[in-house]
Amino acid sequence: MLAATAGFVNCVGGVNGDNPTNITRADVDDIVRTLLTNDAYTVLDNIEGEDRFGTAPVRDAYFALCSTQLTGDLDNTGGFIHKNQYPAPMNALRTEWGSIGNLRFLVSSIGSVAANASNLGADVYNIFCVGMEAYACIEQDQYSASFIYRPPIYDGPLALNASVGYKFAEVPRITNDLWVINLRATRS
Amino acid sequence: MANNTITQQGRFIGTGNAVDIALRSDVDWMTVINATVTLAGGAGSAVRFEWFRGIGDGLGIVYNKLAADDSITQEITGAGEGFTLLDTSGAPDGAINATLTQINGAAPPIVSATSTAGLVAGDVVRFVNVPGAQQFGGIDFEIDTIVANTSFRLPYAPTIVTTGAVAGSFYPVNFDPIYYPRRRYISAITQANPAVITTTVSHGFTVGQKIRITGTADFDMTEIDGLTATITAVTASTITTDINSTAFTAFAWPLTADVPFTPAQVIPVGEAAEIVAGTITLDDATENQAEIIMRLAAGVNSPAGALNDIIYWIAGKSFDVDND
Repeated sequence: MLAATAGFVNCVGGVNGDNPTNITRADVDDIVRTLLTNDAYTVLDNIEGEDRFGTAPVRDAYFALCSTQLTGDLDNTGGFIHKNQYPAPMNALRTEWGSIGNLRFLVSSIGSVAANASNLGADVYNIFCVGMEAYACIEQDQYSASFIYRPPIYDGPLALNASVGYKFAEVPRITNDLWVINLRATRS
Repeated sequence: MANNTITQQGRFIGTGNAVDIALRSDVDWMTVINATVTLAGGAGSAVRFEWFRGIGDGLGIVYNKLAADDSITQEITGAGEGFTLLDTSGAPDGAINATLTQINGAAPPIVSATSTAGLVAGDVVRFVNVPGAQQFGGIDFEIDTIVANTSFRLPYAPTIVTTGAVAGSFYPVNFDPIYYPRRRYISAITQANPAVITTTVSHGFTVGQKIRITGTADFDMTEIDGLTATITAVTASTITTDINSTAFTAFAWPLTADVPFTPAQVIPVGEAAEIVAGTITLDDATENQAEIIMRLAAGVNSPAGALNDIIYWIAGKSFDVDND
């Protein structure tokens, strides 16, 4: 839903010659500035600095949801703090990769990718930068989700096959389009 | 047959064009019967078609009633004359076509390509690395006026300055993004009251919807960037808004040397709650429109039949048994 509907900004600060380019600190700063200007609340609180070698304080942050394929580029982006460099790593989320400025990046193997969609035909990775309550899942009234299991005895005289399935009625919805921006990037 | 097999059936009247049948679930087999040909006495044409999972795209088994005594012969359909199972939530892009030789500076632009195989008017294409027209790269454009293996037109695209013959590529974008209403690329915005927006493809918006215009910073009309509007009228590719853009800077596309940039977009931000006969239609509510479709080819030798043919179909899902 976010890929189809939300407005996007192309990364333009990179040097890979494509459109969009690879992600850079300038692109992250542009997104953060826009979300702040649009009065989006950050989702996570800051992590205070502590007297520990190799750590750095982490700003309060918006979520940036993206593909695991971008982890290398994130590592090489200016100002990147890996989650093991947080003053309190236990505050990092399991899927979190790290932070840049006021964005904390959550990665997934099923992160959104538009295949061959760049100017040069490379895969374009959608990085959904979201503020608090930017989107929601709305369940339909008068309808409950069902998980349905039919044991083999109902299937046939030899009870060979079971079946399982689910049905539900719900829809995702952007609650405020100003609080979600799709930052699109290619890989370097 | 197992009790849990999902079976679906239906009927339609042939239009002479290919027919897309939206299915309620994935299917493993389908049978189509042309009742018009079946009921006609004597020799005719194809009366029955079958498809099973594993049969190639565009193919099927066809039963022909060619003899005057109503006897039936069986064969495989010609290429592209049978069934094609489609899932619109799958990868939308088709095979890349590297035969592009130019996008010219006409209004609207015409794309020269030595192969237009598979393209039909109304299709959407996306360009890849076209020197002289890099500003079109990665953006979806609808096409029309196809001259076979010569050219096609971009009816909603802006006029650009090109550098003559080039070598480039494009590929068809077979499916829209699955969620409606969809973000669209802006091709042009008028300096007028009201401002009229042209999109690069048919947009699907409806009167009353709220939209926001973004990404115009690189298109000179910076004054309209971020504004919301209510749609007051639409055509397939234009949106009339309630914005007065008379005093705004002219909307101008970046040049080929200006990439990278963020394309101008119109994004849906609110619904109209249109009321018809006292009922809110929710015609523009956020909706997942992904479908599993069986596309039936048209013609006397194909399952969608000829004009006014009465067609019955049945399709189902079966347990897969490995007999190897």
